[in-house]
Amino acid sequence: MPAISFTLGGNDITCELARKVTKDDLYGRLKKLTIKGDEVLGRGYLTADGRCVPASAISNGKLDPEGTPVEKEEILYDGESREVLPSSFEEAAALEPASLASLASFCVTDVYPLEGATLDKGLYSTWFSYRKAPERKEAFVLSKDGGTFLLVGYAKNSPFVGQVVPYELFDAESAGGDEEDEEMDFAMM
Amino acid sequence: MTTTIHLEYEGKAARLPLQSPKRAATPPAVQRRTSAGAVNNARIFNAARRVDPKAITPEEITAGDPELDFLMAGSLADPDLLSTAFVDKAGEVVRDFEEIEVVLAPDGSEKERRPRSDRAANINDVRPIKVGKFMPADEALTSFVFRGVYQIVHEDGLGHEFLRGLAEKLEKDKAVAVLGAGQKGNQPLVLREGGSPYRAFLHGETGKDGTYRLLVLLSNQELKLPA
Repeated sequence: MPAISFTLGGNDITCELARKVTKDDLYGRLKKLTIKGDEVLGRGYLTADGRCVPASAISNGKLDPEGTPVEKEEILYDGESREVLPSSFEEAAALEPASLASLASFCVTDVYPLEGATLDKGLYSTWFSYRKAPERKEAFVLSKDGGTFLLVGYAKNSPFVGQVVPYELFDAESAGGDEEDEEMDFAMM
Repeated sequence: MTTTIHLEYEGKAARLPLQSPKRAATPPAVQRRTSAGAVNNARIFNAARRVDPKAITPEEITAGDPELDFLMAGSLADPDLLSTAFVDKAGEVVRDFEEIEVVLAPDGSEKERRPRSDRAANINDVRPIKVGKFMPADEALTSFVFRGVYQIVHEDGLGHEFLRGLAEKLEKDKAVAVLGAGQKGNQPLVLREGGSPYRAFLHGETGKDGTYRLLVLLSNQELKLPA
């Protein structure tokens, strides 16, 4: 497990970043298959001239306007080039105490347990970047009974609404994304 | 496109707009280029040919490259000119096939095999989404992984009163309410046709001058370590 460091109030906190915990790790997963008899079929494509090719016969590539495969490219962010920033394993990220209510507007994409972290219970805002990159992801460290977790994702800006709803503050594209047990079933498969 | 949620609380039901709040920090627009101009993503035929490894003889491997097909290699694969097909081990197109889903346990073992089915959206069904039991907000926020955040808003004065009252109640009780679909109100929410199911929680706050914020928090995972 790679070591990762944070700073809190001038103190260094070093711990280990454990493997990402996913829904599949906790509840299993649903695998979709196409079969005939006992044989699992592969995905392929029929071309315009009637040939059948397997899906593995098509690769993704990058081409310049002349159709030449691109080996080295320049990446611009908002029209400007940016310097590559150190990853979370190369630079200690600062932790700032945060209100638990911050989690109500935060969409989590990745969950990593932090092993050996010595932190008071609570929520701390920080950043995370698994690799060197010009952009860093928003993150929280949550220390609670049962472990300390790094929650990586992005915050949403949910406005208070009065009599008149400020629709310009919402995305144009909305919302989107049978057991009879009394307990909440998270497997949902 | 506005999504509607059919919500019931204390015997009152209403169909209300469900909005997606914008990101607090807008991700930068990424452009890739070379000296020749902008870089475009493309799908390109490589030389792979579907073969059954057990069916290839050593003689065929020493004599040539049976796993390669150079006829189309390097040409662009136009998605509009391709049709999806399912093929067997011999590379033949199969027309009568069955689509199934296999439920796998966390250790990878098979638990169940069943015909494939797409979940129907249920947030704007005949049966409303029920505002169920309250649980302490701090407990909910630290026990579940929230994957999505949506916001319920009103369309008229009656809706404003209904939603602000609910937000006020949740704030006063320092609680979130469990939302559930179905007759008993204990089934997960599915926002889109064929979409993923989520457990949902309602988080409410009030602000100045009669304002409120009522968020629907979607979770598909408890915040805990694997067994």
